[in-house]
Amino acid sequence: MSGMNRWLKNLKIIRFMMLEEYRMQGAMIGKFQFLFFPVLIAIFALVISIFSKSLLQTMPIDRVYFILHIVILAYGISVGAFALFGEHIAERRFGQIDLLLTTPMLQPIDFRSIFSAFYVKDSIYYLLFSIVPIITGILLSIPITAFKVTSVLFLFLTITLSFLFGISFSFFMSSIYVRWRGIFIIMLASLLSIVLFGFTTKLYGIKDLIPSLALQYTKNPVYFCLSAISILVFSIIAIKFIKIEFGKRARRYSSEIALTKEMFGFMKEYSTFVAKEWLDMKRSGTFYPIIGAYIGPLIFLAFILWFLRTVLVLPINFSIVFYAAMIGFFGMTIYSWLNVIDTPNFYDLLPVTVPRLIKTKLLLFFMLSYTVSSAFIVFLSIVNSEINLLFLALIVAFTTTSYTVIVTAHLTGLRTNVYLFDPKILLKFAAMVVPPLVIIAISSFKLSNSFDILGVIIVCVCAIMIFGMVLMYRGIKKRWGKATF
Amino acid sequence: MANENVIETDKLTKTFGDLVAVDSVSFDVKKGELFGLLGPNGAGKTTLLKLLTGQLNPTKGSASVLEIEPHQNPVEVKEKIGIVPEVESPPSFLTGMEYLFYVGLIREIEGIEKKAKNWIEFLDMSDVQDVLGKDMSKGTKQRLMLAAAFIHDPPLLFLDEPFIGLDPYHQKRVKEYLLDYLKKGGTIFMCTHILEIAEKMCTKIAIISRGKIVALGTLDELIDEGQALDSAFIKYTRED
Repeated sequence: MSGMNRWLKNLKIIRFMMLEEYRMQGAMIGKFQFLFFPVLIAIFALVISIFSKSLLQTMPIDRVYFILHIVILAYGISVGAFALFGEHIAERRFGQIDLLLTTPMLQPIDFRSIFSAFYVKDSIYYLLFSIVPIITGILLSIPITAFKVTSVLFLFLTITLSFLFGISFSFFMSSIYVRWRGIFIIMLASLLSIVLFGFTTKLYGIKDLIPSLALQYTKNPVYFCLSAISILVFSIIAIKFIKIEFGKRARRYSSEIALTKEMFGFMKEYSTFVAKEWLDMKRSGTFYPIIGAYIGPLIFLAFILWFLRTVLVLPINFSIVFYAAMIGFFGMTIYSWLNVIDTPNFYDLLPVTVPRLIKTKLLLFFMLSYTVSSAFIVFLSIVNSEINLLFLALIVAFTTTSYTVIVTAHLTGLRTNVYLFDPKILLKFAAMVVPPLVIIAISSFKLSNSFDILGVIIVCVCAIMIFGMVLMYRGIKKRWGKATF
Repeated sequence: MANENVIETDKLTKTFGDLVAVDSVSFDVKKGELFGLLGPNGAGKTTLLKLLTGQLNPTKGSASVLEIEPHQNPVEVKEKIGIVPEVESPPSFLTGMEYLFYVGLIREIEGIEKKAKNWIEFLDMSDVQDVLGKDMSKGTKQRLMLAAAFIHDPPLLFLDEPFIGLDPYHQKRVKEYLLDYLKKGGTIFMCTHILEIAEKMCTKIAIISRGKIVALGTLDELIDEGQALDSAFIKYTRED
């Protein structure tokens, strides 16, 4: 097949995959809800843009660009770890649904070609679903904000490059991780050393490491070329190294379920189910990615806050109570992961209800997240010399974590990844989760000045959240009792 | 049981949007019967089975299984019955032996280890008992799902294409088990495409087409003299 024909064929495959994604999402949450999601983001971006005038009075535009690019880059990194889950995506991503991704099993096309198409499709999908609506929102604000159209379009170009840089870098690193753990660790350590060296010596900054950000600052086309080349090189290497083996050797295990059930005996009637979930996590190899997906954003948050405080010298007092509130929000990631390890369809054949499995996943979640979040809070309290706030921070961390995940479970059941794309559910989630977290976060800024009053406010908010979560936990049975797996 | 009917339905209906998948279906199945539900692809067989096993809620009408309404008490019904689904789907990360043990724990079966071993041996799975569900062949998955449905000795079995994916040897083993199960007083509700099996095994047959039961009775009642079931099947499913 000639080069041109191969390109045309791949474009057609991407088109079919886009159609597949649209129909699948539409079937799961409804086409209207699916299409409304980007509209919601556009509205959000529009509102933020309209009120950006006051923000720009306190923060130079370059810093706004910096934060926006870093956030978009992190978003790209978070969605780009395809190689970690390559065969899992192909085999179980959507349970019983067969995807075009499995075509190489039956048709004369190699997996790398089809996975390349999948990668391009996912990149386009995320761009259309998040970056384009953000820019649309900003463009719509122009009659009020008087932003220049050319500046907004240039921003579109640079944040798109940042996103693609993040997604391709993450794809590249994950493909290295799957094949050569040692090399991955060396590369990660080198990268961190380069970043730290830059900060300590001031010889170069973050913008020199992210060409799209440098492009935004300098408008120099060389950085455009650097961005494009980096994205291409990362993607090509990742595709080359991706490790997928359909129908590979059958894995064998001696029976562990009885012992594992015994290990979780303290969970009483849930011990059987927790044992199964535990084995799923262990054998699917998702234990570390799950923990990583939780710790990653926490470290990233710690870094950003350190950066805002130390490098940009913003006059905000971030205490560990603030981190504790944010930890709760990120805990949702673990719960979401626990719902995609394996398809639960076989439970439809057994005398088991959906609420029972939801509660099983919640118990496992609490076990994993409390351990990680406690360690993180204790570590930060020592590093930041805030031992006096440790007790309050732990209360906040446990409460916000439990509350956020119970709201998530209550609203999305076992289909978190699907239902959170439903704007109605997302709005409910935001309305239930954002206000208490914002109150705690704002209170935490001035905690050192008036601990007595603000500490009481924070504890009261926590008490209200506990009351709400108890009600919602009890409501899971009613809400999901008739649902099927 | 007073009237010996283990399954009863009355104008049972299930719609999905504009599609009427099961249309006002009424029939009963008596204890000890092997009730075969035949029908073309998409006729509503699996939907009907799911309605009877509490996996779907009806839009209209009612059903009773072992004197329990499945949509009101799906857990209670599933405690008493065994189900083999159309698509074999054991958990991906448990081995065959572990899955049977897991089912035993959920169903609180006495002596589950011994029972699981017996079923592993009976269905010839000793060499694959420690393989993960996701790595099993289609036939092995199907055998595992059969064992998981039979392991608690339920009085009523719901089987959706139970022989698909099985080689002739295992088809024979399963047939023998089912016939023995019927002799011991068990009842079977089976959806199948394999007319030969329906002819040889079923004591009562229903043909469903476009959601409606278009024929119901014993084999002799459904076919004309000298005719085979396939001719009757075509006649009933094509004439509407």
